[in-house]
Amino acid sequence: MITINGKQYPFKAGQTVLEAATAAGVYIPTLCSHPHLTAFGACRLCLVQIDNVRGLPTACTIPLTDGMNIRTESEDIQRLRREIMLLMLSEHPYSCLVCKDKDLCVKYNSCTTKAGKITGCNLCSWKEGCEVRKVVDYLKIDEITYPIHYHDYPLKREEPFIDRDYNLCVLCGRCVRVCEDIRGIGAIAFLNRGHKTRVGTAFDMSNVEAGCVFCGACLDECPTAALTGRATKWLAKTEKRTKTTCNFCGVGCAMVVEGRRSTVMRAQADLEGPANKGQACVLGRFCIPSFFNAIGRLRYPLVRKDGVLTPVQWEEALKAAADGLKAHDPGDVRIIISPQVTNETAYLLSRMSREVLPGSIMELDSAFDTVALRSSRELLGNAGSSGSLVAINNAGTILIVGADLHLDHSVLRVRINAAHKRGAKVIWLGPMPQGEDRLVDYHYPGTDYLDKLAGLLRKMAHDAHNFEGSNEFLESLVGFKDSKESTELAKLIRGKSLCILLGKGVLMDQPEAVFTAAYNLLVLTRSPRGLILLLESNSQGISDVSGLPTAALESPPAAKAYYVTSGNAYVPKEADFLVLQDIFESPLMERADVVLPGTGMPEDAGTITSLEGRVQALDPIALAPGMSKQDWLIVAKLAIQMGGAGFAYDTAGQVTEEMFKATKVKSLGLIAKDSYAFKLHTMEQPQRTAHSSPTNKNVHGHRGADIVYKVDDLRRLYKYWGVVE
Amino acid sequence: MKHAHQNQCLDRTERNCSEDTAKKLSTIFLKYRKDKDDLLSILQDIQDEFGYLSEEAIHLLSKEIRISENEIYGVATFYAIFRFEKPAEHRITVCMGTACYVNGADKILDEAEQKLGIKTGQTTEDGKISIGHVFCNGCCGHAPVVVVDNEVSGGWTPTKLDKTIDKLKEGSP
Ligand code: SF4
Ligand code: SF4
Ligand code: SF4
Ligand code: FES
Ligand code: FES
Repeated sequence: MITINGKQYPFKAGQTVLEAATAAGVYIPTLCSHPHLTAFGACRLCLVQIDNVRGLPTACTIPLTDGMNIRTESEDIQRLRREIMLLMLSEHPYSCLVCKDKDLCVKYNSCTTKAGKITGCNLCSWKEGCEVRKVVDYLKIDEITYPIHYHDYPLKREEPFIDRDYNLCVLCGRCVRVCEDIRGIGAIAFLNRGHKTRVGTAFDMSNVEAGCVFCGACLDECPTAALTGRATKWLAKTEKRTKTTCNFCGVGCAMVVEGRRSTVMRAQADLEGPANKGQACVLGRFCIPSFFNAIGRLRYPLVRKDGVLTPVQWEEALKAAADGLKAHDPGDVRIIISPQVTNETAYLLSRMSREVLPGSIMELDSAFDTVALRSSRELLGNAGSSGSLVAINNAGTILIVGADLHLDHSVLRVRINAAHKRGAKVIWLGPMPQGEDRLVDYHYPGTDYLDKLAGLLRKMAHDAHNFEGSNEFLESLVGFKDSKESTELAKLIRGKSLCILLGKGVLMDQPEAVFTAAYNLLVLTRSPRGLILLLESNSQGISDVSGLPTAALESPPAAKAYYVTSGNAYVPKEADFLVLQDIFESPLMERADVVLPGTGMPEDAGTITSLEGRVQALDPIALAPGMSKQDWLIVAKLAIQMGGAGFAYDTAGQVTEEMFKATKVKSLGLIAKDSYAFKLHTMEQPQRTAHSSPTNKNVHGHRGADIVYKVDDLRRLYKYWGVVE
Repeated sequence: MKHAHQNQCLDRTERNCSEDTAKKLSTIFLKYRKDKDDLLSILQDIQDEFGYLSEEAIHLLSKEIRISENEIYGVATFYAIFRFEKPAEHRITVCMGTACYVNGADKILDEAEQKLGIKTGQTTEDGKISIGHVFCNGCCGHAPVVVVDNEVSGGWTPTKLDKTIDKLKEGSP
């Protein structure tokens, strides 16, 4: 038992005094602590009194012991805290904080939204969330006795996404710690000492030059408005907020989004998100509003009349689409599913394909995901990653193959960084973006993934003391060479649990063989849960509910009629009927006969499944723009129009329920993965044929659009990185 | 997928690091383990070698010991001993202590600033001459005192300084 302010609470080992008090609902003022960060003890606001402990220790750093008698408030403590705050505030624009009309002002005279420099709370965009205000109110400070020490640092507003006004900084160090400790970037640091201490970059470089990846973690940590998101800070304060899931990539970060009518206004990582634990990347943190609110959204159904796409009512569009598709033999119909649609949409599309257009062929619109899912199904018996993301945290060696973790799946770096700090070795195969060299211990730049992995496999199989695999397996490795690299790699990997992250770069080599080699490596290192496929948005879920991708066809017959959910899909020029269901205008519209406007993530309901097989919900925060409808509903209506039975649903929830009964997706949460085959697979002999590079030239294709070309700041950043022109 | 990302920041990595600089740095790095604990000693060695901590040096050091440039710079700025700008070839320091001031030191400093087109604390663009000021050199009897490249002398006038600057510019002190 411990006592806080005279009341008894159960004692929990391992907690700090601050954590215990917070759990007990007792407020202790803090500025420099945050549940995600290790205690720092810098602001000294959390002073408490503890019997038999000398002085006034800081609650955030002192571990709890049984029987402690803690007092969080006393004359002495409050006086000291006030003193600390006064000193801090002498450098902070404080006029509003201590204004006698504060309460009235908040009520009647809110923000002047056009202010440049923040000279008081009334001009500050972060008034509601500010932690300094909270502490000042708690300590009832109404007068500042020290002279003003305004630093008058210049504003940094020329960077992408983030505005910085270090005049508001209270030097809590939360941004510096999250950037270095959690994200492993170190783009900002404390500079100088004493009164001149400030947060900044080496030689005052721009943050872009200093290596910032604009993940926004610092901004979410900052207790003040020193760091703010430029695009959204002045948007109206929340009317509505909800939890949903980012579908820009396959990590499945849980997000809290705010919106109003048809506008999504803010997105922030959900502290409780199982995959991301409060972290997001530049896409999820900053691009959700800018992308989905960008110009070019489809708002009306369109039908081609006399060669011109003409806005029409839904009935007419659905009828035109249904008639056109029905006019073809189902065997000549191709349905192409974008990785960005929900499980519900994919489920209904696959039902439509089976029941209404039997014989039609479905395709997943992602070259890498198709190979990855197909190979894993052949190797493991189940399509998808063999383990959850925890495999990264637990691995002794992490092997990253053909990935670019600054562009895609960026939040996984957080786990890799944590594992790396713990002592795991990180090996990178393939081209590596600048800035990863602090995370990566060994880098092998070539794209000859197969040669490296198979060579390594051979080395490990030969070196194994009592190799359990068959002779047949050993023989299948004969065609591969040992090399200096494979010997080195074998040394690094042997005897440790392995986690392999496979990214779309392997398309440059022979992807199927690379998958087999990678999987065999996991068998040899006894790491059955170590295969992580870096899939796009919802490819995993689409595969689970629709059975895609189907077995590889040598040369799939060309279809005549196409029903595609993405303007990036490949539709041959000869196709004579095209239904395009998308959220943005795209060049493919020129050839479409019918265009059906669907919805994006902030407007969508249903579920999506992350690359680790975690089924998570989408909760709409914004209204669908114009006449557009949620995609699952469009599919259902189109199926009915074509004579399908059992497609009448009122809500996405009903589809979800049916899908949970009819497919292997049974509920929200992680799909159980215990039925995996775990054995060596013989390797095909290497073919020395040149492999084409992937055809899709998008950086972040999302349905028919590319995020980079819809979000100016992202384009600026990528331009600097050399990713786009 | 475009791996142009690879060439990202080429302008960063290639911070005009001359081979000579890289060679000198690697000799310094050889003396130490790649360890955070050695950071200060390494920084001192670099400053001893080059006279200051350049962007290139910190960049290469960051790669070597895998600490971010920003953190290294942060640590370095914590200590007053480190400089981040290339020191000028010649340094003129005008004493502005009371004795020198009343003997016209301000006019001498003015002359230097005007002639070189820079302010005290700055260096000419060609990196040749920098001017600075101190408060008392402890030899007030010789006021006004000016220190040129570590040589302390008294009895200065604006005209004398003018000539000295011309000489420094030509290359012979
Ligand atoms: S945005 Fe991310 S990388 Fe950039 S400074 Fe903040 S925490 Fe660091
Ligand atoms: S910028 Fe914000 S988070 Fe960073 S030290 Fe200043 S107040 Fe703290
Ligand atoms: S890592 Fe992926 S899921 Fe997470 S915020 Fe970024 S794009 Fe969204
Ligand atoms: S919160 Fe404990 S010292 Fe800042
Ligand atoms: S005032 Fe110039 S030397 Fe003392």
